[in-house]
Amino acid sequence: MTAPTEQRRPPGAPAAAGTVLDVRGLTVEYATGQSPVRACVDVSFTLRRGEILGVAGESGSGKSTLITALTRLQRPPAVTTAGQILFHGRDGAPPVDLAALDAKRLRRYRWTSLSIVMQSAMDALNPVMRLGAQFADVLRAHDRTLTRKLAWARAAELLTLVGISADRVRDYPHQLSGGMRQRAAIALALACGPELVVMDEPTTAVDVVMQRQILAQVLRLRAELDFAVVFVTHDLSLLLELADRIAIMYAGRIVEVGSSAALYADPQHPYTRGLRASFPPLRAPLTTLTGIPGSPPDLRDPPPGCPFHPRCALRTSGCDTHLPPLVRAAADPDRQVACLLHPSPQDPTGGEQR
Amino acid sequence: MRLEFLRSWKVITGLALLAFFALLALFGPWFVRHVLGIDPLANDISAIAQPPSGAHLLGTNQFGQDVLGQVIEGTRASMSVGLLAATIGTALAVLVGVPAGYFGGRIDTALNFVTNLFLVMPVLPLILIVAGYLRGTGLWVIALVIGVFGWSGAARTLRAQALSVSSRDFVRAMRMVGERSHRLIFFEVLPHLTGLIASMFLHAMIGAVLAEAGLAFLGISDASVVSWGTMIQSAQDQSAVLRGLWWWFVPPGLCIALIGTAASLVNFGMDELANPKLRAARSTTVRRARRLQRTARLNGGEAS
Amino acid sequence: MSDDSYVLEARNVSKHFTVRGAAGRARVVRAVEDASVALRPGGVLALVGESGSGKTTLARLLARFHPPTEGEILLRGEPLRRGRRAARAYHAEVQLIFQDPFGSLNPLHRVRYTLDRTLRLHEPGLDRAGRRRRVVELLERVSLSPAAEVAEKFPHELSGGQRQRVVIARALAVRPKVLLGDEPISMLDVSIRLDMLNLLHRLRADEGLALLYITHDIASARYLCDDIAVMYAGRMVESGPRERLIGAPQHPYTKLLVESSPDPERGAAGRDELFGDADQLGEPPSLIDPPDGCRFHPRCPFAMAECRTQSPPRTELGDGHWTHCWLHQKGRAGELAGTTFASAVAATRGADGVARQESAR
Repeated sequence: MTAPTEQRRPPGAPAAAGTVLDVRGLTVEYATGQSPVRACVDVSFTLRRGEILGVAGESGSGKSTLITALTRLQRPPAVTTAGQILFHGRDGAPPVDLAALDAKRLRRYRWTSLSIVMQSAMDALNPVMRLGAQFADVLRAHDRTLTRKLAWARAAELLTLVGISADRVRDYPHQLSGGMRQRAAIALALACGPELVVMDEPTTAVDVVMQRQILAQVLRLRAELDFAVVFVTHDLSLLLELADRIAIMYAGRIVEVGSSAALYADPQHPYTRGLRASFPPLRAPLTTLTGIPGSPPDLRDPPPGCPFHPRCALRTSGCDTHLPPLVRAAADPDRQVACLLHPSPQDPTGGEQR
Repeated sequence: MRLEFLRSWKVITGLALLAFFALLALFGPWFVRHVLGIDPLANDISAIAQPPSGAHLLGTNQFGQDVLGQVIEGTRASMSVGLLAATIGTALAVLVGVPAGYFGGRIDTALNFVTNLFLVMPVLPLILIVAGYLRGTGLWVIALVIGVFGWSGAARTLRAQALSVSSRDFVRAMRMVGERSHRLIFFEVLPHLTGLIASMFLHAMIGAVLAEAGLAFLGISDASVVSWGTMIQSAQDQSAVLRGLWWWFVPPGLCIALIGTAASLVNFGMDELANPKLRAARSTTVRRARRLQRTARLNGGEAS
Repeated sequence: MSDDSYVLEARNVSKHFTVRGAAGRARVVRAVEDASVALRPGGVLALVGESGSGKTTLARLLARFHPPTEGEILLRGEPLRRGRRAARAYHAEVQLIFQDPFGSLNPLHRVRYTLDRTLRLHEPGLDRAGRRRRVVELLERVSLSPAAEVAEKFPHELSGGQRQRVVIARALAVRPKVLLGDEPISMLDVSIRLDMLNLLHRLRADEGLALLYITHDIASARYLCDDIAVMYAGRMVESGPRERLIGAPQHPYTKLLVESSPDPERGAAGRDELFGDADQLGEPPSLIDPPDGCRFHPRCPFAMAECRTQSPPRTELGDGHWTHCWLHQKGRAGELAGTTFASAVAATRGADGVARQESAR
């Protein structure tokens, strides 16, 4: 879990062993109006095999844009204008750049290598098809030798995997409760044994008790089936309990990455600290918390320098002119922070001119 | 945001066409008589059923009347019927549909009953009977009849929309602070329906222009007034199709088709702006996205 | 029984809705059953529950959107009267803040119009200049500045948090005694939620407003409120001072809710311990045909014979803490503290001989 990864590699160099996804400099822009709006800027991270990476951010932080870019589900006006999404298969084949694949080759990777669970299960499930038929469609599209009967049997098996009884396979989605639908959507995402599942706020629409049940199931299945998870949500307190590592996004950039334990014990970016302090404690003594004053920046007209500086209580001179790069902390190689208060060891000037 | 609809080419084209016909209706008759020097009702015995030529730009009909003159003259009658019928129909639809949707309950039941009654009434036969009964009383009566019998569908749609707007939180919230019903209807609910009402008005207008032509075709019209409908009707009477006098019935038919196209263009354009899903598929969005992708690739190529 | 110190009280209210199914058959949804809440001036009560627990219906009963099927609502000890005039008088004292700040302001009106109309209706004596002053004053009270500038904006020019502040300002323009907040922060960005709670806190402290805070987030309920009431499937299951209720829940459902809520401070060992056993906790019942007896019994690992047949009576636990649970009547309350809900469920399942492994494979 804590194996150190190398510093910035030249493009094309092999990633560390055990990496499943290696995102480098991903930039997504929206082609609207006069000048394009950059919703995701220079996003880089790696995901290790079997790891749960949490991505936390508020609305407008670019987390949803990142998801649609990763899964190649984006539609105009969103365009990936730079960066690579290198996927390392279990089979040890050379990595493929998902961002550069054409639609036909991409289809080979969807479901079998990478799948997605959306916020609303109804986006993934067809309301006029029985659950079994939907599972069978997916299964048979990837294994043409599979008979219809076997596919339905496999569908029932997948449903029991997420705690839905097998006889529900003949149900239509609307006959299930919201929580069950979301579990069925997860089972569907796991149908072809993917190595990576991207989850976009999968439990935001369900209640806390159901959320806990679904996540318990995801954790159990991950132990059995060995897949990695990118888990996107606005709920940082949930991620602190759930994820191995967490990336915090603000205004389209990753501002801090670190293990959950490190981020809990010692959040370094002022935004991370503010976000932590935005969740009132359930048991710890109560103090007056303030959240973060101000509101997130308008991406059509981002502030100069660090995008967080207008709301930052700790800003100093230079914050409004220098954009801090995401640099590795000296003490903890797993930790990266983009803040002028944490200058990088190799880059004493701390930041690039903008 | 309010004037954004003027950026869609569909809306602009549609509005321009409608404006053109409106001008024609206003100044057409004056223009025909004083600029072109044509009397659309005069019979030129020397030119009976002539194809388009220098002397008669759109030819003449069986009675030696100038077709161009008649088309322009007829614009006023057709547009007037359209406007008046659409105004009456839309007003009735608003007066019945919006209160039904807003108040619900017994008021809704009563108004809905009236709407349904008009909806299931066999409108065309009724119009024929009423128009036949009122024979000879002119275009205004025809417009009135078309308007009075043609509002029920629009009232239904408006009722549904008013119902949905009335149940939105901002109406509830204003009711909770004590706002009166009539102000809630006219200042909170109705402004959200203006787009719909405008589009209904355009639809009603095309419908009325077509209905007028249809009624004229069936012989229910004021024969002393030139309209597109009466033109087509008299062309039919004189077997213009069989005799190949296409210039007699094509121009008025084309005008009716153009008005319909214009109104549809405006509606389509508005729809695209109101519905972001349609906007994503708009060619400008796709084109812009492609251009961005291309320039990004070029820059990436230079960098490496 | 009657207590004059309450400003707003709902006594044993029930609400049954009649819905028509696909086949046209009328069915009764028992959205709220026998619920009681009481609000004191300057007091804040949280109503916590999952979706479908009836908390929003109860708020709407208190806001007079629907009449209760049974029970009564008392404003300063007086039962509600019917009719439009009475409704207007009621709403001069009780205002509801909606969940969705995007839906509760008319997008076609400037902020000034919305506030100005409210002032015209409630302070008819004010002239134009007076209303202008009051608008600025109201916006400043909800920390919107520069107020004169905000007043000229349309809702779409404001952020979600700013809109919700305008909504609160509109409610304050009425000079109410009671504010009902129906999940007022759940649709706002995480980083500005606490500021909104701080604002509500300030209003109750400065103006003695009574506040009913409806939420699904028990941690935010603890942050804002003195007392918490928990609802499940249309019934109230437990109510009491916040620390007692969260620290030592006396109803199995409260326990489940507290244990399911994310709490990074929990400091428990590992993720497996936090989530282990939690994958089969069941779901709330349908309100069309709710279970007999205690509505929680089908999911409850502590359930016994009484729970299946009779609705549990209220047990007073002192200090305003009470619960509806048979465990207290049968002297089994001590069992709650010794275990977690999830492991109690796992234990009963093991005892029942249902092999969990089987369903897992």
